[in-house]
Amino acid sequence: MAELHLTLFVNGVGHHEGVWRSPRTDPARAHGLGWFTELARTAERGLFDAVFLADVPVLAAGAERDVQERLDPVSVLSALAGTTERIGLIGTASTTYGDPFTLARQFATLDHLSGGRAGWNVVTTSIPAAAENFGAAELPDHATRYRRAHEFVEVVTGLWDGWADHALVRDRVLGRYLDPARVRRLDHRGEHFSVRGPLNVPRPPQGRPVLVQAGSSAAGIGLAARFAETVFTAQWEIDEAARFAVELRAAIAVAGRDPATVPILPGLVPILGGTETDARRLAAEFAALTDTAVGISLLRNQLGGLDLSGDDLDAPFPDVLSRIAPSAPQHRARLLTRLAAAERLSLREVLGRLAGGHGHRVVVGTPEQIAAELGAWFRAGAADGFTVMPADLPQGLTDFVDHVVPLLRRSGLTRPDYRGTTLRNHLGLARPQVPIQSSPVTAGEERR
Amino acid sequence: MSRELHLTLFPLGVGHHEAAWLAEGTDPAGMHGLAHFAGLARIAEAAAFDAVFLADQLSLRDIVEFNPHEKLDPLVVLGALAASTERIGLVGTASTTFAEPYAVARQFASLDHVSGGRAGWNIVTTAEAEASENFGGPDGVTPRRPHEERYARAAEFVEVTRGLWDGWADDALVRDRGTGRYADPARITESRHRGAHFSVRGPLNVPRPPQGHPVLVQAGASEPGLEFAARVAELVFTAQYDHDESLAFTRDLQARAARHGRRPDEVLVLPGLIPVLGATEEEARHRESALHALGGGEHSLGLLSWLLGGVDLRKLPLDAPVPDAILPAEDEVGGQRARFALLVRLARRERLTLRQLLHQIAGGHGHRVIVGTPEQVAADIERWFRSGAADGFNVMPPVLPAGLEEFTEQVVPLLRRAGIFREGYAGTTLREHLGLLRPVRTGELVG
Repeated sequence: MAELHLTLFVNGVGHHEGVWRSPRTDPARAHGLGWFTELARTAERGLFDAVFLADVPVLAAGAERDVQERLDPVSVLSALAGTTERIGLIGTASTTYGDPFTLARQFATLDHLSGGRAGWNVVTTSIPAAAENFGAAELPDHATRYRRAHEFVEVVTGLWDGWADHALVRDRVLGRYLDPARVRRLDHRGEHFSVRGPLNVPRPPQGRPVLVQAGSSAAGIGLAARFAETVFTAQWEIDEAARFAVELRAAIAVAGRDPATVPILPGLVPILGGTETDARRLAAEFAALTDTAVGISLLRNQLGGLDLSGDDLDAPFPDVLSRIAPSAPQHRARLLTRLAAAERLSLREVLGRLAGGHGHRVVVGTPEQIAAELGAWFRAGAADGFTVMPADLPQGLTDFVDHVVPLLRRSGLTRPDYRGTTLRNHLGLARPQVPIQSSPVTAGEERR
Repeated sequence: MSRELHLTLFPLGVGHHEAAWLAEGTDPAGMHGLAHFAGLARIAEAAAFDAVFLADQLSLRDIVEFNPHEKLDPLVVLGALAASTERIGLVGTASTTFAEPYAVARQFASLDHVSGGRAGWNIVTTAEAEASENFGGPDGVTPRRPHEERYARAAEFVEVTRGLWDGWADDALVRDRGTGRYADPARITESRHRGAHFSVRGPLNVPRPPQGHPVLVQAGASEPGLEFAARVAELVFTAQYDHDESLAFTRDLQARAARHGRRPDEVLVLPGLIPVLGATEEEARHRESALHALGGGEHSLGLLSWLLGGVDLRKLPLDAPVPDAILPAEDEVGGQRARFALLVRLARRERLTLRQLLHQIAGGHGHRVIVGTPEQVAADIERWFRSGAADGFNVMPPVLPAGLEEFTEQVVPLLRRAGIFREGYAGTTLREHLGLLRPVRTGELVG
């Protein structure tokens, strides 16, 4: 039976903007191993499939007001391989910067050290300033980035597939360590890369680390359709999420893969309280830590220039649909209007949700309400699980694990225990088979 | 403070001897697991070693059939070791030839953060053609770089990396909850580096590492390698067979460092050392022969033939001196093959037979093998240390974990009795273990 999957997304001391100012967080801890270990173990206690570290190879704007620094995900995940036992370890790495040989090696190594728990979130990097850290004046255009991403993933998977599972024969009697016929060169030549191979790391325990993808643009869906084994997406509404799932699954089928095997995990920022009032109070507390002027100006960009700075923050969310320019995109205005109407939110509360989610959906309520909401999405085919992005860490995570997870388990949505030891086991993914070996490395050929 | 001996552990597979994987007590099937690395690091840590050092290779070597040559990514292994150990330093190799300074600066800064100040970077340039073919650009263009240019790139790479680490003041994160000011932008500066090889704007997205800079390590023995080490290295790994040559090497390096305005104790020299121990000298010799007898000869023969440029060695008698004619002139052995030059010199000087030369390769692939009792090995270490021929040793056990256990149980106590090696760690960072100062931020005003 299908299971609801949960991953923990770690971002600073919580996903909510400004939450480092809350007494519920301790930002001075955020770069130490003890910090990441505590979070990963709490998620492991909640039987989460994986801990997920996002990344950008640049110090993003706003470092003065919020946590923008981030450690290299692979370095942190390898440390977590030593402090956790079962939970999957997913890290983001860019295909626009970096090279496939190094990346294939890093994730293969992580998979070996963790006993098959590695996952790679494939991103193409859309922050323009990143380019300047890697010798380029500007980001390659969208299409080029995605062409490079396709080739990059082809090379990486080709390198992982270059070793048969039993290439290391270790025959002490014959003195034969490796069977060269079971290790093959890649000899890739393409638009962006030439890579001879083979990799100098044996086939990862999972065959391949799990490929995760998050782009929701047409090009992103194209990449996901070919390669993604788990999809991370931002979805605000159940109907739209279900439509996205149908569209993505169709694209996966067209690419010749089985769409039923790819879990889709929308982001979710839970803000919990023992009562709905408590939850709303906590949401308001967090919202008070953000800068409403910044929120108003972000909203102006999203609403085609509509300026709400003269509106009463504590009045019901204004009728923006009648006020935005006819030429402006209506999508965001409609979405916010529906959201505000459903929960009777003020302008200040809407700003809080926006600051809390960074583009992802914020849900405020009791454990029962949130568990019911997750179940509804799951049953409607809008989600196979969720990328849980606690508003504050570690408390927001601990609350979720202690109060929401047991409800999900009781309703049979999540498993009673880990069923296996690898990330593929947790996600219900098959281990990829090694393609037929060809062009073996022979001793004669190698000893030039 | 009195001078102190430094010891680092250099684990390779299940031991440095080529036949290690064939030896009793080794577990080649377990050598890609975390337990293998963690077990070794913990033994070294229990003996208060300064660091564990992981070398690297960016391609699968040519001769793969008879011996383990696969290599996990050192930085990833060290990240895991940060969680499995508490005090020991974590030194990893990363190439400046096939990587970007922003990524490397970030990885080592991250390792330094998660390990609480225990990271070290062994800076290498990569010459192998096989490696360059794994990092090719469009249409089969591979980045072949001549020796000098590789070092010019390395120098700029390190400059950029240090600049990125220094982009953050130690107190840049002010975290003022009242005002909502998280960081002080005046204390985070962009590098805006523009050079012959790199343009890097910065700043890094990782705060300044706990050690200021992870410790910089270098191992090249060529002329540009030495100059580079003299300018930037704080720890130098080297292959030395002979006490007097090692002393000359160390003095030369210190003199070069002095010309760059550095003090002699800012550069520590650690030759490689492969200890083969026995209760008696005879037993130690017997254990060495037993290792040689296990096999692996096929592999050494292939490797030597490859190093000699493809000479067929199968027709040569094993117990006659290697004919001078097939040994290259020393100055022909350039670049990263400096260690091989050492072997060639040894073969000429000592008139080694082919078997002896093969055993040198099998036992230490160019590093010094010392066979004897714990007392003999400890006395040798002490002599090199007291004369200044070495500041310590990079210990390369022939078989693992047994060779490391023997060394820490039998040799280390003797070094302590001699008063040259610590009883336990005095500090928590690799810099503290090595007695190196924490770098002041470049551009920072003193006072």
